[in-house]
Amino acid sequence: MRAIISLFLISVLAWGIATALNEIPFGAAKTKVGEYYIGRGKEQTGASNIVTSVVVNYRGFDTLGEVTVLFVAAIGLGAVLATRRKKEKRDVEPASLVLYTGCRLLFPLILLFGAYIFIHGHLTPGGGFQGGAVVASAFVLVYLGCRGRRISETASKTVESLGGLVFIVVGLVGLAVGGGYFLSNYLPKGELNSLFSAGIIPIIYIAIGFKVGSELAGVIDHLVEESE
Amino acid sequence: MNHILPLFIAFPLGAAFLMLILAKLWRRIGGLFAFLISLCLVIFSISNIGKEPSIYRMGNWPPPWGIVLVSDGLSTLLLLTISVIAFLVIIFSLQYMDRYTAKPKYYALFMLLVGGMNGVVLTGDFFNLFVFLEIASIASYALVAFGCEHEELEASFKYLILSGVASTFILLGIAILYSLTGTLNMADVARTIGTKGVNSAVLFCTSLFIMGFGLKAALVPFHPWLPDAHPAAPAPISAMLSGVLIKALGVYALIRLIFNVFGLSSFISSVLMVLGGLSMVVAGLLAIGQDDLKRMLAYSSISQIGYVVVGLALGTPLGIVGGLFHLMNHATFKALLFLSSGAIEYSTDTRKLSLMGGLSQRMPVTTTSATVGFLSISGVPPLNGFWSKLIIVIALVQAGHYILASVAVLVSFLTILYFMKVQRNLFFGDLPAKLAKIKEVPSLMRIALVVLAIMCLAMGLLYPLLSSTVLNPARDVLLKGTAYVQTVFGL
Repeated sequence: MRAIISLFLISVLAWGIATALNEIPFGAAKTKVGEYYIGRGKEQTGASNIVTSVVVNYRGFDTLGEVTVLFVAAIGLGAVLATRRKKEKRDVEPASLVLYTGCRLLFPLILLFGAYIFIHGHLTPGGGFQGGAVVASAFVLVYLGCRGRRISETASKTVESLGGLVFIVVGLVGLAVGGGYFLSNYLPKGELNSLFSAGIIPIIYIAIGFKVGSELAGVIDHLVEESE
Repeated sequence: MNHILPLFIAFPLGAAFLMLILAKLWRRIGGLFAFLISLCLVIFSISNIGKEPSIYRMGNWPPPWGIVLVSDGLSTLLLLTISVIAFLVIIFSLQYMDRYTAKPKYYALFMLLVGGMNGVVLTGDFFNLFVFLEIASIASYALVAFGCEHEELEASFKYLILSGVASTFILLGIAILYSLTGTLNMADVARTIGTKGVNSAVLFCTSLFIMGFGLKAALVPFHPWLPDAHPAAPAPISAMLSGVLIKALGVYALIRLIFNVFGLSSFISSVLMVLGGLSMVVAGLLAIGQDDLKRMLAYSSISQIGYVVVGLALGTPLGIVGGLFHLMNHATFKALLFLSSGAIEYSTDTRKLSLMGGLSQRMPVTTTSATVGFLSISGVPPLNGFWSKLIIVIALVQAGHYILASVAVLVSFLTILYFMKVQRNLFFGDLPAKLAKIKEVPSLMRIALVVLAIMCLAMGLLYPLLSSTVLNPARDVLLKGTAYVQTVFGL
């Protein structure tokens, strides 16, 4: 009986989705806002990466929200797992020499690559979220290769909160100097395609890079502790 | 241009970020910070009353290229409700949460919950709505699980899964609307739908939104998560979830989209009225059998949300006023009742009605304020719950919905019935020997209870003032329907 009801509900949903997809003009010209961003993005925001100009500038407020979603999830996880700590540490089998050495060699390189991605977010593909994820992957490697090493929770939490705070403060400064608009781009846009261009965009992306990197590393840290 | 608007969101979010750094230096800073920020939000939202509708362009990008915040009568009403309840709940939390660990995290999550709700209420953009919806939802999952006991974790997991399904429906609806109209700005979507006409894809989106936001509002048959999730949370959080979260995320978002973006058709109106009517009756009947005080209050929340939705979906001026007024009233008395249940649990360490009795001898303040709450939710004059239920019933009769009107009256009697039972079990009779040494709760908790009880009385007596300043502007926003487009683009 349950299977029949579920099947019925799913087929109603599938029928609805099919009807809706039928109405959508696929392959037609780009969407209205998409067209606008592609046409004017470079000139209006000073970022040569159009995706970045949308993510951090036109819809920067969404990005503030997304950064916060990740932050909520991280402290939520911390609050739920916090009581489960304080178990005696079990001895873990050390990783093989090859893995250990490889991790130690790769760790700084991966960090550098992550930083490169988020610092150049307004110029090349990628940005704060992607760079932050790369940075966090360096820490995953440490957990795999150098077992027993832990990141400092205080440091990661502080970097995380500071990253979010920089985003909000950069936005709030816009209220005072940017003609009274939250998150308006009040810094000089500079020369297109150079590192120091696009006003507040690189500052925000660097803050996001630090924040996402430390946040994901912190989440991995919590989960590693939980599984041990 | 209203420069306060971004602060409604930036303040709580910024406070949450800052709080966790400063808490390393001084552990009690969380409570102090949350108190100050929520006080600021109360002042902002009061100063926002009576202002002309306005929009705020984020980053100075005009709509539809950038994100806009829209402040009109309806969002003003919700902002006021959210900030006043949040402020009183924070005052209650200052002493209640002493028994929990990880207080800075509690206050940070609380601020994020408030920031998320303010964002949902203010935004004029579909995707932005979704982002803030997720902030508030994820903060509430964590807060429901805050006690970290088996029961709390299970309730939170159930809530997370069902609410995640709702979010998926909402996101799917937004994706389809975006590909249909090529824009995410709500007013622009409304304009495009207005010129192109409603097709089957738009109807499908509407039904996805009714399912998604209906689940967030816990309308029957989308309700099963609520009776687990709301009782499992710490009492101040139950007050926030039942008092404002289901309204801001569920009812507000739903009526904003149905009235102002899609336009209320008679079909949608009857679907919503059926859902509302079902919620009133089913949850009202389920509430009677409960022995757990908080679980009973949770069922009664679903039942009362039914009244709100029926009133609003009726679509007549009187019905809308009744629905909105009941929304504010329910926020007040349900927050009061959940906080009272927290006060009782704080003193007696139990929530089982069968284990209690005679509390009026030992806890006079809690007894008095909770009684005001019980009378108000049961609709006894001259308390606020009476007036809003009366308005809804009159509106139903005027519109010719005699069956629904009599159902509304009957459910009201049902409410009196089960709250009489609670009243007798809790406060009258003999004090069990185990509870002979209980004490009244500390002062700040008493203050929060008394203020809420006074509000229940004042909102009933000062209805004319409330209706001219807050309710009527909100009603006009909904009555004007898709004229919302002119509000956003005409400014």
